[in-house]
Amino acid sequence: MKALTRLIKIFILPALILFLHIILGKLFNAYTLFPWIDIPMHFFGGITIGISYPLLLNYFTEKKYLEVRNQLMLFILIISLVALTIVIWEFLEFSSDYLFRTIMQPGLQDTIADLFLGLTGGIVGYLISEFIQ
Amino acid sequence: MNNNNHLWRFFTFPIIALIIHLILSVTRAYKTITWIDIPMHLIGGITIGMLYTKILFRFRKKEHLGRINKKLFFLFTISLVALTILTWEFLEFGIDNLLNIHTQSGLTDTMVDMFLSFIGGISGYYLVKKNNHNQ
Repeated sequence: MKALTRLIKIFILPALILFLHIILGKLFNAYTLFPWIDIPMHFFGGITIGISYPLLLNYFTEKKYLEVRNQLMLFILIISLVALTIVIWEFLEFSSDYLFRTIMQPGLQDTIADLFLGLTGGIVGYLISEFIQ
Repeated sequence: MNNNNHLWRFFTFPIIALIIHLILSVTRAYKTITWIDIPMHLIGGITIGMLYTKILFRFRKKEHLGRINKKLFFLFTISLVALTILTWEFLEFGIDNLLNIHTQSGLTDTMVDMFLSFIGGISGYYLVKKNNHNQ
């Protein structure tokens, strides 16, 4: 129970962004009405996971699942986790478009921009978490 | 120095895959044999999956990484593969826009390429793992 509470605290920001994404998309149809809103959403999504992953790795370190002794290595691992999340997100969007005829990925340029914004957000998020600590 | 030489040896397979890719690009094989893109992405993914698994094993031995849980080891390997795939697709997109060429044929093609490389990366991890039971 304690572990679950801790994990909820770690992922509260990405969960809020996901909630906001669902509200904007489903309730207000905001992504169709204001296509530019996609840009800050991907960037802020990246920032929140860039903040959450260092907290998650700290938790794993406390639990003795992990010990990273090199700061550069830690940075690379966190950014890689951000990249993995972004790639899986885009796979899900693509699958949704393919299977359910949604239009989450309007084209290649849009998807590459989303990936780039997510990754850049992740780097900014990591830097914010370092600054806070 | 000997250890550094050993680390560079890990890059042999990705470099071979890259050289084959360059030869296929120069000879326009991707245009004439369109399906060749599929095994190339899969093989590329396998080689980088193997590379990162070997590097992480090495880092653990050299104590850059202290403890690491087996599931986290797998997670970090596929995360590094994902980062490489993203960087590769950014490069292709950049090159296409700068040089006005078409290494990326469209959204579906790019997503399939990414998926194949990712599956390749996971396979690469298991290939190395299978040959290193004791690690």
